[in-house]
Amino acid sequence: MNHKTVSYKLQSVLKLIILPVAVYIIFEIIDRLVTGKGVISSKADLRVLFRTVITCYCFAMALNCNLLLGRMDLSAGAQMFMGCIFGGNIALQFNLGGIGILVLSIVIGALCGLLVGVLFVNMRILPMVLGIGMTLIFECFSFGAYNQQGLMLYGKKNVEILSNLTFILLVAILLILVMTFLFQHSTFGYSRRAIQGSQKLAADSGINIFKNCILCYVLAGALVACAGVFDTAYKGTLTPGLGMSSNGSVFSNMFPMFLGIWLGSFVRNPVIGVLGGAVSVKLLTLGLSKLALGGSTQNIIIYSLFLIFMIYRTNSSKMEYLKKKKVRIKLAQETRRERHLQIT
Amino acid sequence: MSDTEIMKGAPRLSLTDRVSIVKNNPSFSFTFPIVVLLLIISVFGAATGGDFFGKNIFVGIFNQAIIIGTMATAVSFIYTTGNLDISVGNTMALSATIGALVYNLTGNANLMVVSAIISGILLMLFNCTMSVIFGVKSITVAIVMIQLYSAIVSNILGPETLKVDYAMCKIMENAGFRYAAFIIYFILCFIVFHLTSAGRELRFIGGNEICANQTGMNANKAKYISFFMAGIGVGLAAVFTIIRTGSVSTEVGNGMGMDVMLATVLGGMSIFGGAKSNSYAGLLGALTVSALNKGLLMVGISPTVIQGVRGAVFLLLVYMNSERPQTLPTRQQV
Repeated sequence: MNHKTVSYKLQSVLKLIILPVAVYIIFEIIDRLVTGKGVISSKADLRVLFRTVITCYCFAMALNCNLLLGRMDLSAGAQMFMGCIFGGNIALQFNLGGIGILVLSIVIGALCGLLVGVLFVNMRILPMVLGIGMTLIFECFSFGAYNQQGLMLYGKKNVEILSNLTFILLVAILLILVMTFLFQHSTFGYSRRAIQGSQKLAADSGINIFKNCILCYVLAGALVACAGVFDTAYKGTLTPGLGMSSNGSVFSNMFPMFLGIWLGSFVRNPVIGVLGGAVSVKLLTLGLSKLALGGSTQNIIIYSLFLIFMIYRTNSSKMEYLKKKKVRIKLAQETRRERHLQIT
Repeated sequence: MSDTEIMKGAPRLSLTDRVSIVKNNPSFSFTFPIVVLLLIISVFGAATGGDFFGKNIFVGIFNQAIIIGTMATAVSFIYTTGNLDISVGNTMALSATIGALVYNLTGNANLMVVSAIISGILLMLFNCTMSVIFGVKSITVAIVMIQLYSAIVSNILGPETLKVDYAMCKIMENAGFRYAAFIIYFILCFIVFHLTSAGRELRFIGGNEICANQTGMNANKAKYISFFMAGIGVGLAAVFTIIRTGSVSTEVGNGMGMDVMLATVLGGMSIFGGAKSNSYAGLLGALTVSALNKGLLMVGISPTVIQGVRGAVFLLLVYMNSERPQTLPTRQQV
């Protein structure tokens, strides 16, 4: 590898990590000034950060599976409820422990994703519309099942592993490896990127767009279920709701996903990028909560930043164009002045 | 050769072809939701032994449908242009909060109505500006605004419920304010949508924005018009919400954006707009949802199951009312 390549790669990695690091430093300073304590001042803080990051990462990756291909799956939140409530409770019944809960939830989440995917491919109605319909159906099942209690992990035996830092870290590493392979190095990933470019061209070149679509839904279902298990382990319970309340988790994970795609573009790896996005947003949330701000005030700050970020993302090319235009005008003016001086 | 002989020689049409011919009929998108609504009423009428046909039941269905119907009529303007806004529920909640605060400060019901409508318009225009001036996709703006408006309402209200003078609300309700305001708004929407050049432009832009721009139409201006009209509806729905319960809480408007979309689609309109859009789809859809809910409740089905049935019926109706593209659906294919 020559010097230029190494330098370029280093620059890319630096661009990827600069945002989470900047968020951490800014809040470390603010929190220390206001409360006298840093963002991560205890092991509990670290555990909270790890748990929330992995939940957010899984959900954002799940959204990333479909959203970039023009499919906004609004049923992802309801799939999470289905996977966790059914998978978790079955695992608890058979005393399969924390790993059993995680595995069974992922399997049922994937099955829910498969159902949505198969329906989408066969019915071919708009993904958002299908998502609404499936949300209504899934919420009905997850609410009605298990006496409307949802999933309760608080006080249950053999589930402590879901709160173990090493286990969370191991799952995170495994997820990153599997997702990097699937998205970056597998046929599925290549096809997905081709479809992302142009569905028509991809179909014409022999890619089975329907199979790829179903796989995306399955993967998304498995990921949201994984997110749900860690979220339940963090909160203790997962209470089901009706009236499309599960959409909240879809909307709240949009910011890390969009942020992650942007960060991932520096290293051409959305899997790592989304992790960066999740870490940044969760550090921001932790930093704000350390300031003892109310939940709604935190949300106002976070979503205002989301809006500003989206405005920046949408207009960055225009800003770049204006910057180049300025440079061009300056150069033209200087050239003209020099010529004028030469003539005189 | 006689007509009968010609018909005998012609190839027989398959069922799919026949369905396609029926679906492509220009009046199908209008008649289908009405037929579905009448079918639901007939089925539940028969299932309840005629109890469903009672005057009180119909009034109840209309009262339930009025808020969603107003909102769905409002957003049909936005959907027509090919934009999506699912934040209308939270926008309505913030407008209702502002309206209730204004009433509690001034004690003037007229000011409450005016402030709620103006808030609705301004908030919707803010969403539009984010989309038109800053170029952020309207659905992304909506997702941010759902959280942002909800957080602002929570910040203003806290855990408390903002109470508004119940007597005033009752007076407004008994005086038929809701019906009058809804009918006036609905007629206004119908006129703007179907009888003016602005309405035609909205549909054209929804169908093909590039083509519309090349024929001299200003897509941005049209988007502002659509969000303005939607803002009036959102403001009105906020007033209806206040006078229905005499209070505003953080729960108001949650998930309503989805209900509105559900009603609009059930009413026979594509959420990607275009030439087949209309202003009455929202009302038809809202009535269908309300009739379905009421009927299922009267038959004795639990609210949990009702939601599931609603989802299944919704998907079935959408499937029956939509085209099946060769490839997977994208914006261009709908």
